[in-house]
Amino acid sequence: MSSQVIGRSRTRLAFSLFAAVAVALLACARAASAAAPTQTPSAQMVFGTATQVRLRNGVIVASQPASYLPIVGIQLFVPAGLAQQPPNKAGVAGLTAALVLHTPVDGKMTLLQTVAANGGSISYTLDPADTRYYLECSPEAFGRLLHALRVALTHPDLSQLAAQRAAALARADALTRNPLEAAYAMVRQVRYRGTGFAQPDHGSSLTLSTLGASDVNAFVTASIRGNGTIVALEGAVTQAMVDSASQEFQGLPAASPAPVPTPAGVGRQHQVIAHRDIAAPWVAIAYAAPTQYSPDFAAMLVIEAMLGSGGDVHALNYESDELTPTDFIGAYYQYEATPGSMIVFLGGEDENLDQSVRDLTLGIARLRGAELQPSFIDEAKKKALGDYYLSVTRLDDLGWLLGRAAASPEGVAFENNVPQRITSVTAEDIRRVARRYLQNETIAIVLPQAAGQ
Amino acid sequence: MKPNRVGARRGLLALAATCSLFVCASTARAQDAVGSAPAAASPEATTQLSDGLTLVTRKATASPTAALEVWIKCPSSGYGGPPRPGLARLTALAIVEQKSGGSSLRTDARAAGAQVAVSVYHESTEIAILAPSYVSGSLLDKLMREALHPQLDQKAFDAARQRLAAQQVASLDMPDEVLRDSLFARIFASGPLHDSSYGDPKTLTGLTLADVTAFATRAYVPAEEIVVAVGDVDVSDVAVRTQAAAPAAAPAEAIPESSVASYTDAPLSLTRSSIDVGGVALGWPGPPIADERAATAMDFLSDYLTHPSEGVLSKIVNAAASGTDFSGQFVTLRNPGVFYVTASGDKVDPTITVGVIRDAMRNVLRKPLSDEEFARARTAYVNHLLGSMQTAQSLADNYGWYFSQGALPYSPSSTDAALSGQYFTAVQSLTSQYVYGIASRYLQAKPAVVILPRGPIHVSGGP
Repeated sequence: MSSQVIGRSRTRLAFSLFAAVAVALLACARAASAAAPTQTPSAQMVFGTATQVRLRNGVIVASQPASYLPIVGIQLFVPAGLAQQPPNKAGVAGLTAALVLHTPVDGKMTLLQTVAANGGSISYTLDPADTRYYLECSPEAFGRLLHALRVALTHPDLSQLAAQRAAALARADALTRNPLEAAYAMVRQVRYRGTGFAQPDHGSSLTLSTLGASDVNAFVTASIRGNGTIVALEGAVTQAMVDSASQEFQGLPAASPAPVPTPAGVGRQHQVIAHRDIAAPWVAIAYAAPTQYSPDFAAMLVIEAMLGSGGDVHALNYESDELTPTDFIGAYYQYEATPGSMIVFLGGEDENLDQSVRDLTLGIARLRGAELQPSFIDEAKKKALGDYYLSVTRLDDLGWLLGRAAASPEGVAFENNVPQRITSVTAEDIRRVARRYLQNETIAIVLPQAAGQ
Repeated sequence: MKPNRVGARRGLLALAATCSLFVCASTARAQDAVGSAPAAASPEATTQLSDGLTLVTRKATASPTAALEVWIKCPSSGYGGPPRPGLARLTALAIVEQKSGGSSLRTDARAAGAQVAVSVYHESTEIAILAPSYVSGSLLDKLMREALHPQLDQKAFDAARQRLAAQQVASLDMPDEVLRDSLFARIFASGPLHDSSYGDPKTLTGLTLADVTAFATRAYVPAEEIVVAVGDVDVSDVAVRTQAAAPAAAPAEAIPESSVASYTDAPLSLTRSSIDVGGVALGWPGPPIADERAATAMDFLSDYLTHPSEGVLSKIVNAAASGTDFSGQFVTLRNPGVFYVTASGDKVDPTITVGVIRDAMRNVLRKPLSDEEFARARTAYVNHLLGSMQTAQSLADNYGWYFSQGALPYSPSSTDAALSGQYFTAVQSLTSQYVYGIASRYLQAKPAVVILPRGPIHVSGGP
């Protein structure tokens, strides 16, 4: 194996561009306009050919073959996300997913062990509207591992409940200590009040301690539905695999999952403060934002680029086998939640935090009202395009995008339409979207705790 | 940098429809011409220009992105004389910062929505761009202008020095980096493999623009360079652009050899003071890359022992101290390769952990795997490897690495859905008995051991 793999990890860039935001915005009033960009994505620049079928029970099976790859990636979206949890049962989505992975499917071997024994990998991600299971394996193992996943999904082994609840408690406790997660949790508490997404991903010690087998069963029963379930296949996919996946999931009940409650709108400014054992303060400033299927989505992606994106939508929404991030500076656009949120994280090693907050406020004000220089907008559009394309290079990310596209009103064409929309964003679009969404901010502040706190 | 020259050459070369600069056809075409090789055509096109520059291109279209890389075979601590660790890194960083035509590679890449990265290893340097494919042509031009024709000024040098100083500080906060560098310093008595590619503040202070310019002149010569373009790229367009950017031939200089030290397995304690976790590193010299079957067996063993979730050693170490950051790898090198493991964390007691790892290694390697276990482990290894090579960037990286070690055709990237190619052929040739023989030969020897004492460090004796 080559050594250059050392230190290479999935792209989780943390640009500390934020301090430059206001400067850049101010600069537009005086600097001469640079040449307009001459390169734009062409119609030929597209993701691989994708197709989708909708089964009678509502399950969508989407596929995007890349025949040169010798492996298959399967993203399975189950409408069992954080927002679907009853608020007083926060943690049940994560607990259920962990139980699924630890369900015996081959004699005494759990799903996790069975996949590993076949050289594959499996993980889950808790999204606002789904729990996603990602399975990667050889084409030869595809059929039996997908079957094993479906069996575990519909009948998780509850004998592991105590052990997995203890593990969830440990994860919840660790997240509570993480200043980044603490700031994010406070923002969610305000912006998603009344839904399960207002609570931390793994719940709290309070909610977890009350969760029992009946809660897991109820959550499984409510979420194992055809409508909302998506199977997205990437890599060495064949028609036989598509057929096999369709057959596997055609037995799910056709009913739709219960609608996700809509949080009360945030009609005023909020400020919340917490203390943690940290060296320097963190601040998260959150605004409303359009969801991914909104006509305003592309304009907000450009605004995110202007603010200095700190990472993609999965930066704080990571797979179960990834480590919790401890550092994130810049804009985080959570567009999978309803409503969406634009959150700017500041702090950590930023020695000029007060100034950064003032810069952000000034920058947002300019987005809402000032004439933005064309060259500045063009550059932001290029960055938004780059962020969009470069965040989707691995099979798991491709499967995620394919599934999201398949669920959109446009179907799988969505993934290639977004870049074209980014290219078409105008100054007026940015002003309009900024005025509509970037107000009534929620400010979450995490301060170093004093001795004895 | 002479941008006019590049433009002029491109114009001339566009007329040269027969690609006269190319002295070798692509590997795929070469096989066609021979007409006797039953093996499948390579998925990549490999060409070598008359000046010695190598080009590898490959379509990989799952994502409309492109990985564009230039790799340079060169010693990270310079040629001859007293070693100057950090010299290669400083040079590469300066190249990325160099402003020509009003902008640098870094600023051009960012403005185009791309990402630029510099990776420096003991015996090679990589300058890489990951870009949306619609900007890949212009960025490839810029990359080749800067990397194949380095012309550095004081501003670029100063910016690079600032970045390297920051990297040096950051690297000291990464236990696995510190442990790995210290282990290599223990295993190798001299040569580029002995020194950290980051160098140290003292060496950095002494380096000048003249030093990096002289190093670039010696190291950045076409015979020691490869251009790799993988992803949603137009292969013929890349070939034309590369011809246009190709520098004149220049004499190549051999990389100094790294000699293996006569170490004992007594642990060496480090003196680093900025890390407050405990850690250990153990390393064993392995086969050279020229012994492809043995090197492949070591790769297999590396996966079997140290895969993050499934490695038998990983499980044992994590059971001994939960939350341990454990990793291991066989680094394929010219001669010798190195198998090493590192473990670090708040709960790691270095002395106990060394014992745990050595006991586990002895236990696991005391006899050949059963045929059933070996078959399962080999399948898992193949899948793990394929999983790690699914992106354009990872495919390009592996081409670059194996070029830098003088074994491009042996690159694992050189395969397809049918798992053809030299590397996977070597994997299929492995048997339990053969792997056991390799493990006995290389991994039952005494390892070099480095420990990072837990808590504030006051122990002396580090390299």
